[in-house]
Amino acid sequence: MKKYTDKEIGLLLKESRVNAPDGLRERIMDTVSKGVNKNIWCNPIATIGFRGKRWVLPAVAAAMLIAVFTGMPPRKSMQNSSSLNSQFKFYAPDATSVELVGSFNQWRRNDILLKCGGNGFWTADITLNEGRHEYQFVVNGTKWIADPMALAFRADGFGGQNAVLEI
Amino acid sequence: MRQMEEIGDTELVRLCLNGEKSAFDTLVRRYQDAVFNLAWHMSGSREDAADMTQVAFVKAYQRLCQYKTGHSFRNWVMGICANSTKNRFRSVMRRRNTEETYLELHEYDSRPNPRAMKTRELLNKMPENLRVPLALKYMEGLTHQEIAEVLNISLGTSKMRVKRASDELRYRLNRDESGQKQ
Repeated sequence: MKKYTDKEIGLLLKESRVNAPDGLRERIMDTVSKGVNKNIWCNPIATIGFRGKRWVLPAVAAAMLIAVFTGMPPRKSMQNSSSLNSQFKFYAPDATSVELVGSFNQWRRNDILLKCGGNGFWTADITLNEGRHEYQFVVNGTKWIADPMALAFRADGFGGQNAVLEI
Repeated sequence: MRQMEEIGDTELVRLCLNGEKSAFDTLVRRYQDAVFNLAWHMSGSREDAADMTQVAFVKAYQRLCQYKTGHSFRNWVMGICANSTKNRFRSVMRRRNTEETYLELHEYDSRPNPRAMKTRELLNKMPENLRVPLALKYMEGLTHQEIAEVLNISLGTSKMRVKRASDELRYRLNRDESGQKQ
């Protein structure tokens, strides 16, 4: 009877390794590109989160149902009731300051300053009304950057882009 | 510009966080086999392993900010995979029998190797808590400390399970060979 050494066991196991099936990487990347952003409120690295607002989705669904049954356009019915706490997050480990400017604060400078957290992340929590908002981060007071994790972008009229957030 | 393949994990994560999705693609390409292999040994099914690999990478993408700079990205994703798979199968208790798994695996084997097929078959008959540390040790080349971190077990448990699993596989190989000779 053959006595297998640890080395032989190791070699046997090594050649028995299974590899990921073809197309799995594409499937993962497809989910990352499309699926993750749809669940953005669950996503800790997402730019915008609705943390601690578990009532938001049921409330929105209920409002839409009421709107359908009363014949009101859903957007209008929700307009005054839906202001949401949103968290903006930006990764800039070497920055000395990061501020947020956008259509929600009339692009005012030195208004919303992000706080530096651990791991090079800068965050700001603000309340936004329902609608479409455009914004950029200003890094070190000079460099304007559209949020790379945003879902959509729009030309800013100066040759650059604004990040777009729909609520 | 450097090719993505030449860039280290930490730098790739930094690029991902700055919106460079192709950097994440490189990380998936680099570690999908290791994560899939772990998921396969935990779930016992190729289909479930592919699902759990996907879940692990998507969760990793969502939690990139929690990745500790300088740590092994592979071990981090494998830890996420181990945790997700454990939770999923604890609640669902969905396991296929080993014979079915064995046949299923070989359907996809592009280069059938009888020795590897036999080893897989024997390995799959072993309890999961033994075969997973063994697979991590010898198929992925993890140290006991890394196995302990990925599977959230102690260093001593990792050493003990790998030793027991190795002895068990050795016994099964010998028994299988002596059975064939008779």
